Amino acid sequence: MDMMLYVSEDCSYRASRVDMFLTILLHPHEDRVVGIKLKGVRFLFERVKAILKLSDSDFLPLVAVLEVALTAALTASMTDASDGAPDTLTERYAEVRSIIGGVDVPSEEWQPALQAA
Amino acid sequence: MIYNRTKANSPRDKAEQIGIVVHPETLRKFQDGHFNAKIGEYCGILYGDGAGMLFAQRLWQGLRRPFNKTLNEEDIFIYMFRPACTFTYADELEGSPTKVEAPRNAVFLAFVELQSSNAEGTLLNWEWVLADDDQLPENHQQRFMKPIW
Repeated sequence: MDMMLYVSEDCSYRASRVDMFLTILLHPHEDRVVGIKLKGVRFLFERVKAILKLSDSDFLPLVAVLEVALTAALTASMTDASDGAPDTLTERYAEVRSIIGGVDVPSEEWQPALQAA
Repeated sequence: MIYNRTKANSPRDKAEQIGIVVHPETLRKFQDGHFNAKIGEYCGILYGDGAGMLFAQRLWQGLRRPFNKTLNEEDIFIYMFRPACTFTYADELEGSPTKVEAPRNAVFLAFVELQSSNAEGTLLNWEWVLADDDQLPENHQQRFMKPIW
């Protein structure tokens, strides 16, 4: 499946969909974020690589991928409000920046052949 | 040892069963990433005694995904469970997983890609998701294409 999982705690998280790209992963019993799931990673990967002019061997900053996802989600929300208002989307994305700040992902983890999970 | 084969009710005919194989890349990523809770969920809920997936309470067909040209989204089936507890492994993935309290206000989903033979499916992923007031997956009408049973 075309997605990437980042989890900061090993627990049975509760997934809560934000929009077509971002799903927030909540602690099983507390109202706090323990991770994210990004969908459409092939699309996001190609755009981040082009914007940052990265090679196939570089690490991708996860927060940059999130920014590209937010931009695409905001654009989509202008034509289809089913994923929420732009202000709400921006707030939900801001919630997860703190837990993924500084996380870099090796490029090979974004390659299509490895995107089974 | 993790048994990577289980069985589930067939999406085509609930009275029949199909074989389910865990996608090897999914299992590898969860093992390499030390996601013991994910492995525990599979072993305790979906594998169970070899027939855990037969306890599914709902099934939907079709997963809406953005920008994905390699996957036939209509071939994805989503099995829903309401387990009384969940499972994890404390350290090594040996023996039976440990029971732990089920996540609050959530149901458990398993994502299966049905093979062309209709006799076997590949388990792609599984997770707890927030539930709505009807104890169904939050926003299932937008996320899944149609209910099967």
